[in-house]
Amino acid sequence: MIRILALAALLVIAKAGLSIGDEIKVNQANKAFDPGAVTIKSGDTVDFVNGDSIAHNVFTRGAPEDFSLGTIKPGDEKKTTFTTPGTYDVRCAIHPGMKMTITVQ
Amino acid sequence: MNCNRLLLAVTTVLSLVGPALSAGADGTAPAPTQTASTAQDPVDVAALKALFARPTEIPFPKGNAYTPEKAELGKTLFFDPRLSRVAVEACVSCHNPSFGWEDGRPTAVGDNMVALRRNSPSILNRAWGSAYFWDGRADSLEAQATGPITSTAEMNMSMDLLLDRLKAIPGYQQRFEAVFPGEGITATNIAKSIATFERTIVSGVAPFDRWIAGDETAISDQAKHGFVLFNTTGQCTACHSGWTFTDDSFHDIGLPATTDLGRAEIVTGVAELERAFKTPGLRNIDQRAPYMHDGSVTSLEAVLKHYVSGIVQRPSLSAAIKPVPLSDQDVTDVVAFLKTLTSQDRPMTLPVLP
Repeated sequence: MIRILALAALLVIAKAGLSIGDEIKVNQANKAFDPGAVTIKSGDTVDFVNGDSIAHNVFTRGAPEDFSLGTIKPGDEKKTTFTTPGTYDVRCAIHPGMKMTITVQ
Repeated sequence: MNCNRLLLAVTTVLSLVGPALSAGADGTAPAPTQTASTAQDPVDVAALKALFARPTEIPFPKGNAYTPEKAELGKTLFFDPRLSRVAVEACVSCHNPSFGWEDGRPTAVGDNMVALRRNSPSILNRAWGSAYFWDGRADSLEAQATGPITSTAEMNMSMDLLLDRLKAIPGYQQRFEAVFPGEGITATNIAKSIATFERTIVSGVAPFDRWIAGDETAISDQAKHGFVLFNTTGQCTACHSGWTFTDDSFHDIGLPATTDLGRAEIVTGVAELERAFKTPGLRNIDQRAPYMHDGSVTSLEAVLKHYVSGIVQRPSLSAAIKPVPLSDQDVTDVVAFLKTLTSQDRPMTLPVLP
């Protein structure tokens, strides 16, 4: 019975055009993003994990849209979901030598 | 000439001098030698030296490759006061090669001789930068290059007026067309030219470079001890790292608070960026007084003493900034080391303006 209900729920979601995105992990280590570039689908979430002993940030300016995740303290992580397709040039605002590209399809 | 990376040797034509330069530039310099640590300096000095070795090439971006003609055009623009509305201020007014490409004033002077709020930053070695201005509001030298020109507080020039003015000068028409065939005088090409010139401004081989290349006589024992203190007790390399002596990152270093919020005026919502400014490089630093983003500190000794006992504690203070237990003699030794970072650069020749 539970399986039937779960299947029905998925069918309803699919009918409504909704989808549950994937989650991609990006590490911040040694003042660098790892990996330095990812390609994801609209609706996917990127989880930024600070593995350094200093605070970091994640931000972008300009197209497709601006965002900043504020402070990510050592050992913490912050997530954001990308819904607008395009190429995001992402940096750490504290250490701008930390750069990565996120391509949202 | 198609080269995204220009051998440093080429830049000697523009800005560098010194018999050791060619040795450092063509890769024939003697390998660094292991230096025995003194009793006071029980550290691996050779390993520390390796962290500061000079690169052999200037990096140029793919979208703005180096050509000598473009760099020369950029130099001409850099020295031309007609780039300011009232035609009295040029880029070089605030970035003067005689003052380590700064201006020797506590804070810059802008349009109508009004003092601005920040010290003129040096353009030395900015080819290796990743953010520009004290607050990092420009992501590239191309973006930086026209910022002061069009700032109403600085050169107060509109881009439309600048384009009209330059297009009315036949010599500029010809030179832009030669460098950018079919494009001519545009805002983008002005920025590309100035940025290319700025990338060629590289500090020359200093006594410190000769020392890490193996010449033990290049600097004094006092300076060598200062170098070790710089890397250890002084914790200076927490921010002043690499051959240009900057991490190109943003730190609140605990200066007395003002209304200037620095990087936080550009990126909001990050507590660590309040009163945070970009770490300046230290090459040719003894030519570049006064110091700090606000020009509030007049000597290198006073800079170091700020880190000994002057740091203002507050939530935004960088985790890299902690009081350091340097004695007065230590401060003197570190300053002796810092002075070895100054190269004997060839005097910059003035361009003939079209």
